[in-house]
Amino acid sequence: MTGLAYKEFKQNQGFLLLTLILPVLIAYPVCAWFLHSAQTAAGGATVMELIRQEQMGEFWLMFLVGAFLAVGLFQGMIFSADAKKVWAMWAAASPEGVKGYVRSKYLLTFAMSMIGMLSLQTGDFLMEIICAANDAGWFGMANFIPLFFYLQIILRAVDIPLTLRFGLKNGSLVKSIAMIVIGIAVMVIVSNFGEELVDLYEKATEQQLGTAVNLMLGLLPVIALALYWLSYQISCKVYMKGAEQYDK
Amino acid sequence: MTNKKQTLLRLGLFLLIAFSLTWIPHFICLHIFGYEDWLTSAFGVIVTLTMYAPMLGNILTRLITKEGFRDLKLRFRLKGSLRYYAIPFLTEFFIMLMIVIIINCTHGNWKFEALAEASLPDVISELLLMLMMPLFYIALPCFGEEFGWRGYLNPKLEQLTGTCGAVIIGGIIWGLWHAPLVAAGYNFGTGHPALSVLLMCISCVFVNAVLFWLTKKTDSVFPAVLLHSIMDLNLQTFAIQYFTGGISEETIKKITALQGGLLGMVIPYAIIGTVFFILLLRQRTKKKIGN
Repeated sequence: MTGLAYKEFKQNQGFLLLTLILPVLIAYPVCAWFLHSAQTAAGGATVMELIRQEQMGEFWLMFLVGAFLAVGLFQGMIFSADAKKVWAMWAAASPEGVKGYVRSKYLLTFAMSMIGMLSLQTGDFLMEIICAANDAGWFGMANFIPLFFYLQIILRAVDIPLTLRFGLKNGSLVKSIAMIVIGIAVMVIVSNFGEELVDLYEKATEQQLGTAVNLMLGLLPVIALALYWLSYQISCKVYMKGAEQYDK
Repeated sequence: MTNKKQTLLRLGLFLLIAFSLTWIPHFICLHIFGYEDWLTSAFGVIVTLTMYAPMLGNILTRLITKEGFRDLKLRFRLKGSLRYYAIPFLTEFFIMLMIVIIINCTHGNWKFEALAEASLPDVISELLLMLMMPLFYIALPCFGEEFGWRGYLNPKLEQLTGTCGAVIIGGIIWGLWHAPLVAAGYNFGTGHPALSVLLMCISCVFVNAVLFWLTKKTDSVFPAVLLHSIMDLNLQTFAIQYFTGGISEETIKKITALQGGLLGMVIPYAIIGTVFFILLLRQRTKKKIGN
């Protein structure tokens, strides 16, 4: 397992670095630049003034989702280097076997989600410091980040077995389409109902909403982890079938 | 150089790095902001960042002394040791149970009014939200601590002083590492800095027993990371909110932070730590008999 973990690390160093750096850039500086550009074009307030007046909060949320989508993209790319029949046969014949190889992919995917979460939480702290220095109160994305982390785990639990079974190209196509659809849906929902969503989440965390929603939020991490484990079991079973579709 | 001298040198370097990367930022922030203002400001994140100091101590010591990177205890060991990942949850459950018993025996009346008023799904969801939502985020800085203390310090101390020494001395060192914050009011309030640091060291000795037992049983720091993370989530507030009752406003005002820390932290940790300390000693005896 150590060997496999080392191999995954060496093979995907670039993606790991991108997972550490890119989410925080997308969620905060890129969003700030977007708001600045939009406001400048409309002759409006500066980004810090918008934050002080607690306006356009939904855009920060939208870019946060974008950051998680970027992490998802990198997580998909870690399967590309090994999408060869020869490698699949070698992995199956190795002492760790198919289970060990698949486990290393799942652990790396989970680690990338955690690195993305760390990156975004760090960005959130920095934003708090920058806003405090400019006499503004930061919106605070800290409550959303773990939520999106667990949602990402659920998404990975669904798409990794599909990728391993139907091949990288078909799996990537399905995932790209799904990501575009989800991205557009999120943009539309957040743009039109952003404030309501924030209110909804605040009420849920203050337990003013229905019991069912609270319970779902509480169970989400447990469900995510259980699905991830189940996904691993399924992937172990379908890996060799999928490997038959790989190129030599 | 003998093995013992080399181990001492490495320990010294590790402690220098771990302590300086923590104490210096802590003292600077305490001097600039003061305790309350610092922790409530955005710069409170520095407390989280200094949790990575022991990890850096481990890595830098190995690099500088050319020790190499063997025996990092970074394997998950899920096969055959999965039950040890359940022990952190059980341990926290017993800690919460002891806090409930202690507080109800000393100040409460065993009537759980808050629990009676709330619905069971609401209570369960609150517990799950408190436990699971931040778990994997807080696990990262806790890994920073555990990779240093249980992953490096304790094994080195065990080579020099045996298992007992590793638990006691390791716990005291860990407690002293918290000293600037604790003396300023963390966990035990203000007014008794020396006593607070002493109580912190005592708590850390007992928690060290639990964490070291988990690390030795699995040869991995990850179960200890999980337990440390769960403990840092401060689920005791949940237990106190729902499972203690009859504590008057007057009593709440009278209970000092020091007493709260003693009842809610030191005593439960001492009880559970003693159990695991005995288990560690039994394990050591079994190994000696086996040899």
